[in-house]
Amino acid sequence: MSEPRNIVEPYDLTDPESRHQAAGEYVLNTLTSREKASFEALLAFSHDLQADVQQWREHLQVLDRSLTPVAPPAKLWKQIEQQIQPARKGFGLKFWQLSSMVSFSFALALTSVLLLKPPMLNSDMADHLYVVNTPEHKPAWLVNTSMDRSHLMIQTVKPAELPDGKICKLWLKVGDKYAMIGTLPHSGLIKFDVPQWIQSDLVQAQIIISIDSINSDNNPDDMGPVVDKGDFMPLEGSIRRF
Amino acid sequence: MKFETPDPNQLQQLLKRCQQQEPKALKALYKATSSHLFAVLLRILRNESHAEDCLQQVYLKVWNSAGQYNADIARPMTWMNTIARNQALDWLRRYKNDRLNDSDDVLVYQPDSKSQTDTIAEQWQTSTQVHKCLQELKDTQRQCIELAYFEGYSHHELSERLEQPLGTVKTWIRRGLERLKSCLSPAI
Repeated sequence: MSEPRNIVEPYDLTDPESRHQAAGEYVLNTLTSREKASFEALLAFSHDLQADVQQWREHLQVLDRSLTPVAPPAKLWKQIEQQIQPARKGFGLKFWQLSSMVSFSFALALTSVLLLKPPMLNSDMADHLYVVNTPEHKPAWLVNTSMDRSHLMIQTVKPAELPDGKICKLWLKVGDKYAMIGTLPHSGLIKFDVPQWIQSDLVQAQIIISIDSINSDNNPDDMGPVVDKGDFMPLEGSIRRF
Repeated sequence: MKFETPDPNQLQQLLKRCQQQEPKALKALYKATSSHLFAVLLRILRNESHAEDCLQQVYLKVWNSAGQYNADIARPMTWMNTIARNQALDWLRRYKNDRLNDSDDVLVYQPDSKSQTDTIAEQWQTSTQVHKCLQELKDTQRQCIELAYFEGYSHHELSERLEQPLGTVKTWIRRGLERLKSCLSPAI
């Protein structure tokens, strides 16, 4: 059987099937820089696309699994062992220093998403977003509400460097009540459950980011220094199905 | 030497303990997974010494980011293989750039020549268990996907290397991915 005609056109990311195929090439790393930028803009907000990417990562594991395992030399573990001890103590104190390139990439991604103009959603159903900023007003994390308000998805833009033993906690405040939602990740994507009592008021909740010790209690009275706080904003036109 | 397939549940537990910075957990994780990750690094870098250096970096990254692993999103080996592949491809790009910048003693990445390390790596990588779904791909499709996955080739680079029009290469990749997906989907 002869091959279908050759492909020359780029992926149409407004088409679901095309998006799924693009996810495969995103994992394979064969998208052009332009396709990749558009794809990543969608990826930052689309839970479905994130799932597609993960599914392709699993599919393409078949390539890794086909390799015959090779034992590394015994000396290697010793070298790693020597490095993890100082690595646990030697973090610098470079706080909240993010590059302007990250900021630019984020702005480009957000602009691309907004320009795609998908069908408008009822504002009650729309995604709500909060961008956790550094003191320099650079984006560090994106906090996204799920459509049913039962979860928050946290997408790392650029993690802040923290001193050893310190973490960033995400809190929600409704009225005078607080809930500690989770620890912000250093990279990647993470999903947090939203407590039942907040869900109906989630998009009105205030988001608070504090710096706390890794073993600290989740008692709001003992909350560490607050480095950012604000409100969700509706992202009307989001095509995310969550 | 016999290599066992790592148990995902055990790996998840070890990653949790790495998050608590338990060196013994990293050691157990290394014991269970290093031969698999080293094979990936050798396939990409084709140089034993560089694969060793890279493997160290991979486990340091795993150690420092174990807290970010989310079992709801990825299987442990997928997460670790992704770290290894990205680390090796970054390494490869850096050395390619160094080479272009006239460095004399960097990793010599020569897909068309047979250095001694290439031969060793190829011997190691002669797999006897090629997945049936990879066997279902046409040779051209599999070659393109493997070159892109393991060696970071772009469409244009594939087109040049294989001396085929860009559209042909794109078609091979898309059709290959579709075929791979339809073969693998029922199993995942």
